[in-house]
Amino acid sequence: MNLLKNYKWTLLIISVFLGSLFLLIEYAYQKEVPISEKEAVFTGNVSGFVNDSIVENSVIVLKAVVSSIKAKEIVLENSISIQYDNSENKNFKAVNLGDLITVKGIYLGYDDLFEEYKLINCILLNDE
Amino acid sequence: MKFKLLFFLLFSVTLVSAQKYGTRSGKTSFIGSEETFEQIKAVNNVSTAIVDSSNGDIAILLFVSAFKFEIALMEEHFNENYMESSIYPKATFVGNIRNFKLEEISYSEKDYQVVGVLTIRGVEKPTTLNGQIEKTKDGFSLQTNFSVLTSDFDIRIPKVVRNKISKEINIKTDYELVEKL
Repeated sequence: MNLLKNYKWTLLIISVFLGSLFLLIEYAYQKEVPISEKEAVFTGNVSGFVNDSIVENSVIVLKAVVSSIKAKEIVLENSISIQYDNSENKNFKAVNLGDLITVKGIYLGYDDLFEEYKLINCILLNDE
Repeated sequence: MKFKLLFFLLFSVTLVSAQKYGTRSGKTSFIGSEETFEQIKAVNNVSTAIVDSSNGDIAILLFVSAFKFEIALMEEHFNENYMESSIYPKATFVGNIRNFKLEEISYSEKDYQVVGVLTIRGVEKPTTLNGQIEKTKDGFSLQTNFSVLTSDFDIRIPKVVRNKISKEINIKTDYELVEKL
């Protein structure tokens, strides 16, 4: 009887341990939520963005005119550089100088070297 | 600190007006552990660098939170516990590529020394980077490979993970600089 009781306790402890380990691995290896599914804290144009005090690493939606394109480096209205992952290559390839585009991305911060704001992981929502 | 920031800004503005080569998508990566089950490594593909081709002055800036890890939890710990990226969002290097002459750069790789000040977590440290420069189609590439000590930048590593994280972090940069961005 005592042996059976010990056996049950051992089984319970092992189950709890394995369950916790599984949850920990799930948490550690969780996939990043795609930008498209993240909620934007700001939606608007460049002047609205510059005048708003947006916290770094926030997701924003920005509508602006393309002022420069060099390979994968796109600048909007001479003040915001946007960068995108390879998975967005096809969409951004169609973007031309002077296009009014709407992008969603992560606002990284102000780049003192280039004197511009930096958006990364951008996705193209609209290209006019 | 304010004076140094002003110097940094003036330096960058001066570079912008000079003949410059630069990148907004430089690759900076590091390995912070030995070969373990899950190696601590990350890459930042949005590093910024500008080189004044007339004298070899160089400035590099990267956002710490832009380092991407394979494991989300590692990235969270890196930003919140070790680098405190909300307090110290940027890491910079300001210096000079010794004996840099644009006209001497060729399609065969050449060794250079880059001497300057590396700033991580607000701590400044004179640093010499060994690098290679090679001509590319639209400019030149700059690759460096160097190591820093976590203790030099006041990065505190808890005892429990001390045997997993190296005291010395190996950093590699790979920047393709193009003329007049």
